[in-house]
This record gives sequence, C-alpha cells and structure tokens, in this order.
Amino acid sequence: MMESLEEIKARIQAAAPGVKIDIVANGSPSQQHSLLIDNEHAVGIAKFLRVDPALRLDFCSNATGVDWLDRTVKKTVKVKKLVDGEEKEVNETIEGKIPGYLEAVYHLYSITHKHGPVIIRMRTADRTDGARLPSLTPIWRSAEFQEREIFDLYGVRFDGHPDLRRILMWDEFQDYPMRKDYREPDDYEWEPTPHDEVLEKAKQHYPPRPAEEELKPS
Amino acid sequence: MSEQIDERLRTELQRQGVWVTSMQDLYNWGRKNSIWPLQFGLACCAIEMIATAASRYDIARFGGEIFRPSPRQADLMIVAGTVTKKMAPQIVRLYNQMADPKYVIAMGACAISGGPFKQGYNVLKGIDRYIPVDVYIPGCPPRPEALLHAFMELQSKIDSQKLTGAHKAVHLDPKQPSEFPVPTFGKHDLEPPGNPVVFQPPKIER
Amino acid sequence: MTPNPYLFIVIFVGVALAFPLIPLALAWIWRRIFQPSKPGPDKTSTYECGVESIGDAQIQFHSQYYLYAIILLLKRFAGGLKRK
Repeated sequence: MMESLEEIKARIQAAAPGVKIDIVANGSPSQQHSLLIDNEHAVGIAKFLRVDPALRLDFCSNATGVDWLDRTVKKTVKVKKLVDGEEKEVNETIEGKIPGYLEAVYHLYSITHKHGPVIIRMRTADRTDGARLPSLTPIWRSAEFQEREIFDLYGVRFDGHPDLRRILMWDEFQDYPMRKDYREPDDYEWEPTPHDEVLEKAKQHYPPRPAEEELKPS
Repeated sequence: MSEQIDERLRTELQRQGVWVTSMQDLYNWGRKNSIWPLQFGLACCAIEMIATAASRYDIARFGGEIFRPSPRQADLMIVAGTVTKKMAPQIVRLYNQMADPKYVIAMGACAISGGPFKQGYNVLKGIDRYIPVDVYIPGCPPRPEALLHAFMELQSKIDSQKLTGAHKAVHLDPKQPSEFPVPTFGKHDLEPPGNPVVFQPPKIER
Repeated sequence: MTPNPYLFIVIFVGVALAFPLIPLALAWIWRRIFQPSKPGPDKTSTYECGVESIGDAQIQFHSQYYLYAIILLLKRFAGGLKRK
C-alpha cells in the first residue's frame, strides 16, 4: 500500500526544507488528489519521487496540459456592520479575481512496487510570456513527446527539454488550439443541419431574409 | 466514332456471330476493367479497403486488385480515411503525380466532409476542397460492399465517357488542368483553404 | 528449290520486333490523335512520395562516413574470423 499524499509531502519537505508543496483536492468520485509542486524545485522533487526507495515512481504514464482562464470567485464573508443604529452580522459577497495560468499534470506509477498513480502538477506564472515550466524529461524520458505535445497545443515552454518543437501541427502554425480562447479560422461553408455553435456560424454567413424575420412571433 | 451503331443492328449481328464495336467502347471497356488503385491508407477506412482487396470481398472480380505503390502507375486514388491538414498537401501532390486519366474515390465520412472532426482545428473538411472527386462513399467506415459499389459506379462513369465532341472526357481535353495547386502551411490554416476551381460550397436560399 | 534454312530466323526476328513495336506504335498514335500530354512541375518531379524534396541529390558525403563504413565492415569481418 502506497503512503498517502500528506505523508509524501511531509517526507519531501523533511528532506528538502523550504520546498513549497500544496495538495490539490479532487472532489470528483475518483478522489485523485494531486501534489502542486513549485517550479523552482520541481526537478529535485521529481528526482526524489523517482529514486526514493519507498516510492520508486519510475514510470511517467501520462503528461497533459490544462488551461485555466481568468476567473472570478465569489466568497460570502460575515461582516459586522451598523444597520439602523445597531451592530449586526451581515453576509457580504466579495469578488476575488484569479488570474489565468496553464498547468502541466503528470501521472506517475511505480513498476517496481506496482503502485500508483501519484499525480503532480506544475503551474505557470501566466498565460502569455510567463508560460514556462521546468522540463521533467531528464527524469522521465517518456515525458519527452508528451511535453512536446503540451507545448504544441497549449504553448507551455519547457526549460531543459532536449528537443522542444511542434509535434502534431506544422512548424509554421502559430496558434495553440487546445487553449480555451482559441478561435479557429472562419472557414464555415455550408451545413445541412446546423445546430448550437454551428447554427450561430450559419446565421452569420447566411443571414435570414427580412421577410422571415417579420414572420417570426415577437 | 461519334456515329454510334444502331443498338438493334448490333445485337442482331452478334446473334449471327459478328461482333461489332466502336473505338470508344473498346477504349472504355479496356480502361474500366483494369483500374489500378494507388496503394495508401489514411485511417480506419483503409482497413475496410484492405478487406475489400483481400479474398473475402475480392476486388479482383472487378479488375481493381493491382494496388500500385507509385502514383505514376495508378489510375485511381482511394482517399480512405481522415485527411488532416498536415497531410492534405501530400495527398494533392500525389494526385498531381498520377498519370492521366485519373479518378478519385472519397471513402468515408472524413474524406468527404471531415466527418466527426469537421468542427475541429486540424482536419480538412473533405478532400474535394483541393482535388476533383468522382465518387463519394458515405459511412464511418463504409463496408467493403459499399466500396465495391463505388467501384462499379466509377466503372459505369468511365464507360459513359466520350472520346470526342464537346463533352469528351476531362483527360482528353487539352484545356482542362491535370494538376491542381498544392496548399501551403499557413500561420492559422492551410493557404488557400480551398480551391474555388474545384470546390464551391452550395449556396442556400433561406 | 529449298528455301534458305536461315529464313525462319529472319522471320523469327521480324516477329520478335513487331510484337512489342506494334502496341507501342498504336499507343503513340493514340496519344497523338486523342490524348493531349499535360506535363507539370509536380508530375515531372523526380520523387513520388508526396513530400517535397529538399535540396539536391548530388551531395558529397563527408569522408568520415566512408571511414565508419570501412570500420564496420572490418569489425564484422574480424568477428566472423574469430568465431571460426
């Protein structure tokens, strides 16, 4: 039985004090919680996870990207306020802004001990110039192509990657198509049965006749 | 050649043991019964194409079993599978290298329209954007019988092609092009996204 | 008068020449009458793999390449001798 994420976190921090690790809880039925490791020490932490005799996470089965746009989070806080001359506790909603970032997620297994997965995440500073992460390819060679794919589709630059090029799209391509704000080129032609987003496109390209608009019930 | 022999006279002669034909019929008969497809597959439709060529469905019954690995020796291009935008220039280039007369079968939903990937970012919305397609086969993937049906449709098309006159076959007309421009990789999409000479989306009156 | 015994060889050579030449001539005549030739940059290109060729085929290999090949050959040869 593999040790829990809390124990792993405690052991890493005991081995290397000053390393920042958070546990990202997963609320879904799978309950696959993950370790959010800090970019500066990521390679060291990865090495620890790989060579530690109790863990021996020698197999990186999957590396993928996640795009997080800017979001606003609403929080309800109880605030004491003067209402009609007397002090009362009032619920107040505070809007917090979380700037967007890109994330790389690695799923690690141990073939020696037959356990896993341990999921680690890294987050970039932002979604534009700061979209850089340390590459974990020197630790797990199987991450090479998958990091290239993350670079290709999400635009995360991996420092220390031996061969960071586009892998699926052509070299001249400039967009990052898996990002949530990616807009594909407007090459709508014709669709026999448009619906949803395609219907919106169809309306732009084939505006309805004015007579039809009048017929519509207002 | 352009003067067709009377059909009734021909059958009557055949009954008497005299076999009459025209140059056009002889030419088309020879062509339609030895169509050599180009041997390449792009996705899962290619598995059905392989099944069609193998012994159970046996495309050799229709004279199409000689899959050529070189475009210079092939008459027919079976576009079997998803054409990604990265693959499209290579397909067009192979088509350009085929010797006239040449025909194209677009096999499966992906090859005719992009299929389930139509709204995606990296799949071509049908190979007919760049090269003229003779027979379309719907299906995902089409069964081998469907490919055989398409093959027979193509044979009947070849059989009906004219040797002379205003409506003569495309490859006999010196004004018709044999090569089509190969798209290049652009910053956001293939450039150009389609060839208006070959493909024009249907205009709908709303 | 008996015919020259070598006559059948002459006939044989004539048939052997006519057999391939007649279809070729027919094809040539057919092309002249009906089928216009349509050459183009893609159609006449050397390679037929669909990918655009980069550079020229007439390049000079570095001499080190041949050295490697010779070393490899020697190793294989020496290995074969050793096994014997």
